[in-house]
Amino acid sequence: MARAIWPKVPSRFVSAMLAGHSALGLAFAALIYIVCLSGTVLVVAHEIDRWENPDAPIIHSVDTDTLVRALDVGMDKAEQAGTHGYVNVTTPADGHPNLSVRIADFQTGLDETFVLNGEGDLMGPRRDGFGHFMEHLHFYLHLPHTIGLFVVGLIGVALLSSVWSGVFSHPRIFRDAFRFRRGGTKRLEEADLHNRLSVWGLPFHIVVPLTGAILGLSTFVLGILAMAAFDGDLERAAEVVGGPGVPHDEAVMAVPDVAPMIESLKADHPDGRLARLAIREFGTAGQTIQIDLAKASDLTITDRYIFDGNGTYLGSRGFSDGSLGNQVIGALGPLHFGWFSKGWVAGVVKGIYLVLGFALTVITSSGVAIWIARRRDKGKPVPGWEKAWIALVWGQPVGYGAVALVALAGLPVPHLGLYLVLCAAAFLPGLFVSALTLSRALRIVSAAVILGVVIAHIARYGVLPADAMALVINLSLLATSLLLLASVQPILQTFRPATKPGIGAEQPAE
Amino acid sequence: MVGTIAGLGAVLAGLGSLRLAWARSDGLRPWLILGGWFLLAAAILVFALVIGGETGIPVAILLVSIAGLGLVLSNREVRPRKEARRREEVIDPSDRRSRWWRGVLRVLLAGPLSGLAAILVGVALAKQLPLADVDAIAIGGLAVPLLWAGGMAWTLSDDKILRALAVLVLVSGVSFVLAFLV
Repeated sequence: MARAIWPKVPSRFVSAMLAGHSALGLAFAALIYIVCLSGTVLVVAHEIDRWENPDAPIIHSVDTDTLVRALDVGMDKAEQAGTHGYVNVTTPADGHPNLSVRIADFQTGLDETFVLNGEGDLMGPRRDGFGHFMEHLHFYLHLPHTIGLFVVGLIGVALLSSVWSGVFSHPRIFRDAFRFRRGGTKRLEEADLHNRLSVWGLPFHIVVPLTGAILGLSTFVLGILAMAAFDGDLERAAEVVGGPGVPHDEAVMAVPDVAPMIESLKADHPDGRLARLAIREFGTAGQTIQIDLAKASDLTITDRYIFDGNGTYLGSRGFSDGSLGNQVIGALGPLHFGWFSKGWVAGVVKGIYLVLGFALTVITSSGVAIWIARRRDKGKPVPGWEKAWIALVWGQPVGYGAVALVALAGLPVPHLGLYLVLCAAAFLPGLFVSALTLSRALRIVSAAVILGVVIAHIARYGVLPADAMALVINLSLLATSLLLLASVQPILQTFRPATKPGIGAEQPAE
Repeated sequence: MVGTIAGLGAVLAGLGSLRLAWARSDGLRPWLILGGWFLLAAAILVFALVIGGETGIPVAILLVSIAGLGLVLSNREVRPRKEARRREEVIDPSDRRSRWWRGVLRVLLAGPLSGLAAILVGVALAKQLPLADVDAIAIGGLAVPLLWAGGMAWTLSDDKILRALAVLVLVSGVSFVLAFLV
């Protein structure tokens, strides 16, 4: 085997780093796991949105007249709902091949999205029950937004801290780079899995928590930095970071014709595709028109071009061609979720983000498994904690699946309540059965619930709905369900050909 | 398409070279390591040229990660299950004296104090860097979670807890002066 090329690290230093790594990992393990798993699901948020609306008309491009009509339709709906706060038209250049319009009032909490056809006519509400639940779980842990965002940002800091201490407590980082042992002692097996996934995904494991921490702490940290840099002038700070705005003014003013704004931007940016068209505080002197252009060569994906109520161009956020700082701020979201590039490259990026995101959840889980194995090896087993961890890990897919099922069926069941009840229920069997039985039972229940989701989706929309993405997602869910079942040894053995005694007798650990 | 294939080839060749180096200990090993890293750097350059710098570099790095994991999986060794021996080939976390005040102090150091020090450094950078406002704010903003995470990792790991406290207080003080008094 190869000699080490890395300088010898004193074992006392490694022990100290491991103690910190272990303490931090255990303290935040549950929250890190929930945030990582929900974030991994959200890598395919656009695809989930399509899966929830597989009968929405498929549209590949939208002309200016249709956009203007869609905006008018949105403003009509907003007025009917008693608000002029925010109307946003989303086009096929924004991640899914549909046209939709969202109306929102950030004071009252009103937030509805509607599907439009290729002519800009209203088709009906856009369903987002499961996607919305997952977004709020990942962004806010379903806490009040300001607090939730801050807590998730803190989890990002804790995860990043675990990455630092993990790297420094790994003296054989190169020596073991390609070693992957299964079997042997439980602790070494889990350590190999933990370390290999960690080391090879290291750039991802740094970038994702870092961008997540900044996004989560943005209100707090950027607010403080901007206040310090601009001596408390928050409006100036918001303008520098978020682009120009118009002061709030409720005096009545006609809505401007947005078509010339769109045409002028298209002429100035022939490589950009219009992704979103929004208007804020429409019909007032404080109204602003925001047009987001998507450019595939930019990591920031879209830049926002802002006009006032007279149609005067005020400027952009600078995400596409602004200074480095603007571009870095604009790249945080796409880098965090893997939403960048176009065509097959974008698909490859999402696929790798899915694998590495799932790897991060496995790393979290195996970290706890290492601690449990270490305690057992030292003669201080922690069977209660082992069962609790199993319940938390395998309770998540049960909870997600049940929420998806209820959202799909349109049942009037509160999603958060259902999720919390199922997560709590996953702990109960642990009082009566062994850790292995609990793990197997929860994997089987997860597989059944996910299978139920697929059956419910097919029952409602058919095998081949208008959007083929639904079929892709259903097949992926089916594969996930089968993999979960196959991970249960007694079930796997039922379908395995019989082996001679002594051959293949070694079973991998569950 | 040719560029993409060349980039993918460079990723696989680079990782293959590192894999070969890992498995041998003869005189060729340093050259294989050097060649491996050179090919991976070349792959990043190729993807930057083919797709564009902003998206090509992250795409290349992602490909290296996923291909590396693939190589690791292909190198899987299955061994008989066994119980742990008393003397394992691993280093244990250090055993610390469990006094409540040390635990409380460690949590305070890792959370609020490391956070405060990181924010003060971020504010000092945002105010003192000779850059455009938004650039200075972006650098300061990026520095905060990186430093906070670093501070958290260090204060939780350092067996000499009072040393960690002293350094954090010193960093906070210097940053405060640079941010608000200079």
